[in-house]
Amino acid sequence: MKRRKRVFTAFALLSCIGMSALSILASDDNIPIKDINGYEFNIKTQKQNTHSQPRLRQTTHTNNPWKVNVQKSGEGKGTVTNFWLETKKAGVPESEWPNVSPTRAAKAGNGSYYTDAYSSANNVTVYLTGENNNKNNAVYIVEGYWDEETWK
Amino acid sequence: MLKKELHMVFHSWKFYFILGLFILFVMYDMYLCYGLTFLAGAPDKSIWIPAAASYLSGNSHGHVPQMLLEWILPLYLLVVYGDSFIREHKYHYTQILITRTGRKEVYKAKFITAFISGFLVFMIPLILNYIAALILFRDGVNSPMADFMNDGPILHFSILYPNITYMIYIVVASIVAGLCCMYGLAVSMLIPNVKYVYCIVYVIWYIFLSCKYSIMFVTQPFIEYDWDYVIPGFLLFAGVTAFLMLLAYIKKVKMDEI
Repeated sequence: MKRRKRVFTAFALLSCIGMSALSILASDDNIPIKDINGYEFNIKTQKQNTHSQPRLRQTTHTNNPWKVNVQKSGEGKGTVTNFWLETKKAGVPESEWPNVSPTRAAKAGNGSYYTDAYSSANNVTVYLTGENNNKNNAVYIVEGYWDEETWK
Repeated sequence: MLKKELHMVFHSWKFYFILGLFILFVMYDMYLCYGLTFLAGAPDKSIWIPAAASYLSGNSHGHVPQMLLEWILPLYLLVVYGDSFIREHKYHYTQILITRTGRKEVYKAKFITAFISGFLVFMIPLILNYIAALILFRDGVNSPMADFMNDGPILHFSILYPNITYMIYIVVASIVAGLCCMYGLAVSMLIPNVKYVYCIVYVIWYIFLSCKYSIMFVTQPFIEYDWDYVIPGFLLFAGVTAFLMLLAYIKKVKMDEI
């Protein structure tokens, strides 16, 4: 009997932690922008747009916005970098992954930018993707936060 | 003399070949923008305004068409007209022209032709691309840089009047292409050797591409770099072109001996 109680308590505790973890995932978080391997987020000049680490977008609402907040950009203060969400597609090289959100221009050091996604971003794993909005050959590092969905 | 040079450019296959290539690149850019919006299933409010979806704005992800075209623009323009001088020099054809019309005349006609050919070969694809954007993105409402409207006078004007701005930028970008062809011609007058000319012209362009006052800021509308970058960038480029033309003038008109 005692053992059963203990198991029940452990289960209740675990499920509590699980639920809170889920709700944390869906709320407005600050996930550091790291590239797919966990390194600094490089904005490259080549066709390979940098992908962030994956996050599961659990919502079924396109108007549950994703956000990006660039705190520091190697291009300089007040400069702009374009961001959007992509998702993995089997059999397609990384540079060809489909877009699941419109492009959002984010200015360094100017707070968070919230943007809606497409319906193709419902219930899929998404990657924050970025590139320089300018056509020149600047290469730089971006530091900041993002979140794949921001509703509680 | 000018008529003869223009006749030569507009009857050569090179001009039409490069024009076709440019049209291909700008239409590829349009295809990419179309894919990003319509094929990805964007809702109506996310569709770009025509000016933002056009080639010069550079909103197609990856900037591949821009790299293929604008990053090596002067090399294409050398093929169109800039390197014609090297061939003429090799076969002593310029000497014949000079004896018939005078050095100054030849010099003037060549540079005017260079400007016109560079201007047109870039402007025609840009206009076609813009017309395609006006048709495909006719319902567009999303202006990507609208958040930063109050950052500078050029951006402010651009957001308020995107179509007028884009038309101005077509003209400005074509002028830049014209100047590109002119400095290519000037370099080929200074060093009439195909091997060196292509290298030197590209190195000069690469410096303009990657310097602080990049020439790309001059030809791209809707960006955060305002007049304090655009005007110095353009003046620097025009200044270097004028300087190279002056050197070519001194070499070909003042000091040349037949």
